[in-house]
Amino acid sequence: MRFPDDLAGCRPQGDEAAMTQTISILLKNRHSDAERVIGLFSATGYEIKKMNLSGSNAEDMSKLVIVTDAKEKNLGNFLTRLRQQVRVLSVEAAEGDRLPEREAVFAKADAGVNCK
Amino acid sequence: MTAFLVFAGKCMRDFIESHSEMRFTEELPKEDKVRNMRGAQILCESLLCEGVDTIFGYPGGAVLYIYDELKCFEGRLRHVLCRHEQGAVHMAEGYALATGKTGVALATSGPGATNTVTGIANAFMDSTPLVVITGQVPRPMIGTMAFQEIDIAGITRPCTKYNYAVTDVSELAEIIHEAFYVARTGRPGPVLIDIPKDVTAQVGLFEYPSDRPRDLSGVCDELAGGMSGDESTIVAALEKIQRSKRPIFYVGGGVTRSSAGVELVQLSEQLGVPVTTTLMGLGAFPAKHPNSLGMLGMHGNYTANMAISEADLIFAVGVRFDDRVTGNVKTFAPEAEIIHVDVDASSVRQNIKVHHPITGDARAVLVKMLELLPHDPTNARTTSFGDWWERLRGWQRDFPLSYQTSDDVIKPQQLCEELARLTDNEAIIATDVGQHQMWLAQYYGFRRMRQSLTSGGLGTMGFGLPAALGAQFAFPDKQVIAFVGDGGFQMTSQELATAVQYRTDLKVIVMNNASLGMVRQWQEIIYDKNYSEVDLSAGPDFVKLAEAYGARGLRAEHPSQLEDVLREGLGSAGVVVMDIRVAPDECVFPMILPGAGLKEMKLQ
Repeated sequence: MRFPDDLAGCRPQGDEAAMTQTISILLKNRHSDAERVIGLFSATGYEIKKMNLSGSNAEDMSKLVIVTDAKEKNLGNFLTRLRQQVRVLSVEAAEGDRLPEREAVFAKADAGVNCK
Repeated sequence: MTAFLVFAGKCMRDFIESHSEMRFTEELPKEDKVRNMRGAQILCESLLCEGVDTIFGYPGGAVLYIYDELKCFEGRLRHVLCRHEQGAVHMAEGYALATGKTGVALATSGPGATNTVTGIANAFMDSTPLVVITGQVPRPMIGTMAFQEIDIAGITRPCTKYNYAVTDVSELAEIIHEAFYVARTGRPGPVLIDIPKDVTAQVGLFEYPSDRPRDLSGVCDELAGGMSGDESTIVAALEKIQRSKRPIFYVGGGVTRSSAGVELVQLSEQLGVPVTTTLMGLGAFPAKHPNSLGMLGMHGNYTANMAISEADLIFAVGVRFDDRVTGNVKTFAPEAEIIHVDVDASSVRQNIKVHHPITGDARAVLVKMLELLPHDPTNARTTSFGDWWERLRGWQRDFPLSYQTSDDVIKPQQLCEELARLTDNEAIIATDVGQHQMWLAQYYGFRRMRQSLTSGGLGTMGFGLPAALGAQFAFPDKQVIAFVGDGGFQMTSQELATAVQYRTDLKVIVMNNASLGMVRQWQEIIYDKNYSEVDLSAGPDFVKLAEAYGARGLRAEHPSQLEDVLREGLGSAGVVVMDIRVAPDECVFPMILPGAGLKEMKLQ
């Protein structure tokens, strides 16, 4: 019997439903810590769909919000790994449909000189 | 256009001159020389504060201030000059694995730093505590694609537990203190510190922090308290083990990392439970102990694989249910209730469903269990599991590890058995990756923790020689052997020069089958004997190679020569390379084919 490679014994893939997750991470961003956290997403197969890095109430802390398609089965482990990152203070996750999603658009229109 | 180029060239020249080395030779303030130091001295003093006595490294432009300072620390801080930065990191790993301390490696910027990456990744996969220090181009030149500039912090981010790019001398001591703390705390791992050259010349106040680092996450703070696991879960787990009918302990490198070997033996003896170890756990439980079932997994022995498949309770300690252990996860231990003790909460339930996770340090959890045992009124079954042991003994009797002996050619298994006999299973042995690694794991019979140094997770060929040398530096009077294949040996054989230069007694055994044996085995069994690019018969002559380095070279080509060569080689002072020509077409068995379950072992 010929096996093509050793994929057959791996953790089953594809039979778990993907769901949109919004993961919110509070961290101290000292030694490119945000980059380390973001890298963990791609390293573990979570594709980043949307991302926002901003300041927070405290001066030396940053808030990283990432929207991703998460595999339900491994999400717990992944969140634990995120929490274990050296300067991560808290991690919260919410399923896509449990969060209201809003987008704001700021538009500047040139109405022309003749407009009153 | 020409004028512009002349102008641009002048700007660049001014820039470089303004940031040349002259700029960095800052004068020390005269009044307080004890506490005001250059960055390089702060680094060395900090290493001493962390109890470091040996560092493995290779100099270069960006670390010249550090090497300048190292001369002043001779006698207090030994520097071992390696021949390649990968070798330096593997030596630091070998040192760390053999001692339980944190290994330290030092490399320059650019190629020096990138050469460390394989070693760092290896330490990351095998949870080895390591601090790697790299030089960086001066701060004003960062981002200009300066000579030997590379973003090593960026490159190593996915394969380090944490890393630092130092930006000012004032933070250097604190960063080193924190780096050692992170490297050894919880699940150990490698930490990289990238120090720009001008920071090593910059003068700052040296004050080494004495408190535990504060600026870390909740998880790290929690770990600092020593995670002992949830007590009620531990009590429940103990009851589960005692009430089970076919229990098994499945233990790995985590037991060694937390120095829990003694407690493991006690618990196994008191409960009467059999123990199987992973490759990384070899020696965590003595191979010759009556309760030992040996190694499990892809090349584990029949009894161990059958036992874990038939068990009704698995008590897993310091393991991660790696794919080389479980085989097909869908058929792994279908009847077992699984208790998993691990210091790293994220490795629980990563690959397999676990019924009772215990997040805690292996030793702390085992100690707690031992404390609970004498007071436990249900402790009547300690020497029980009679039916289970009967089945286990039956498998051991009917399916022992075996191979066809030969009068004409040295069998690799015979080499491992002979080595075990001649060293009384006592040597510290580092291996590369491949067939020789598996045969040694099967046949050597390691007695204790930190005796087997191997590359498990990353599977790094070339690990064996430098790792063994690192261990030899830690224990100059102990028998340390690099047990390597002819493929892996050629990846780092330049470190023979290091072994000879420092007059070590390192012994190197090359299990030479003139091919990439494990790849060849897969091609034979899985790819219809379509042997593709595995022939290494072109050499070199390892005896002459040893002699070229100033070491001694010996060769055994026939079974009749084996014992004499091993005796002579192991008994001689100085570095000896033993080229043992073994049967080239021998395969490692048992073998579980990729995708198959543990019970579907190929025995021959």
